[in-house]
Amino acid sequence: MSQELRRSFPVDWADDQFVSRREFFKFITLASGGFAVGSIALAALSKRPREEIFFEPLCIAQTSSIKPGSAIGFEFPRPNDLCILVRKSDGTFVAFARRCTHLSCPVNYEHERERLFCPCHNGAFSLDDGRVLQGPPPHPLPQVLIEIRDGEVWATGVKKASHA
Amino acid sequence: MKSERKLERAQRATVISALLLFILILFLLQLWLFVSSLEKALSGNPDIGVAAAITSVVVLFVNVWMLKGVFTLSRED
Repeated sequence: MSQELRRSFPVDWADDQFVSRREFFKFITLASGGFAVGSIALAALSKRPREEIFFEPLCIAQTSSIKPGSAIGFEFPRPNDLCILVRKSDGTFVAFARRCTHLSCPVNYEHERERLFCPCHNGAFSLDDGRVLQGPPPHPLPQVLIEIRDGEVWATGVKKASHA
Repeated sequence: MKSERKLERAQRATVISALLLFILILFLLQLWLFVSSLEKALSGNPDIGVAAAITSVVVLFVNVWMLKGVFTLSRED
């Protein structure tokens, strides 16, 4: 059957699978065009404004329940997304994602130095904007956007960490 | 005259081989640029995206120019 097929439909495999230099050049140039389009798409995506992402607001705590120079943990926007709300010594509130950007250890508030500290590898983050102050973390901590509403602290969104 | 023609063909073959090598190097460069910018973008740090895209487009133009050259050389055969 196979022999009969070959006789009926003779195919010169060597000729059929031959790729000329011109065809190869065309293929490479086409693939090069694909990479160029992909790179442009990536650049366009990276320029898309995604600094602040808003979620369904969540009440974290009463303002009166947190003393200046203390902090509480909470989960936002989903359960198990650990965050930390800090009332700084001057009475203002700030909140950050609690997972260290190095190896995801939970960071703690250090009242004496007014910073967030990761005890796993001695990483530290600023309370002003979450930037890395010391240690191995490669990125700043994402900031949780908060609002004070009628004596309550509400989390409303997450601000993407700046890499500058 | 015949030997002169042979020499021309040999020269063309050398040029095309050189272009082939060059286009492959540029193609690998583009691949590396694309993978690097994708990796950076996924890690949340897309700073090199624009520079990589511009370089990639420049490389594409060089590749198209070389393709045109290969077609011109092949037509002379």
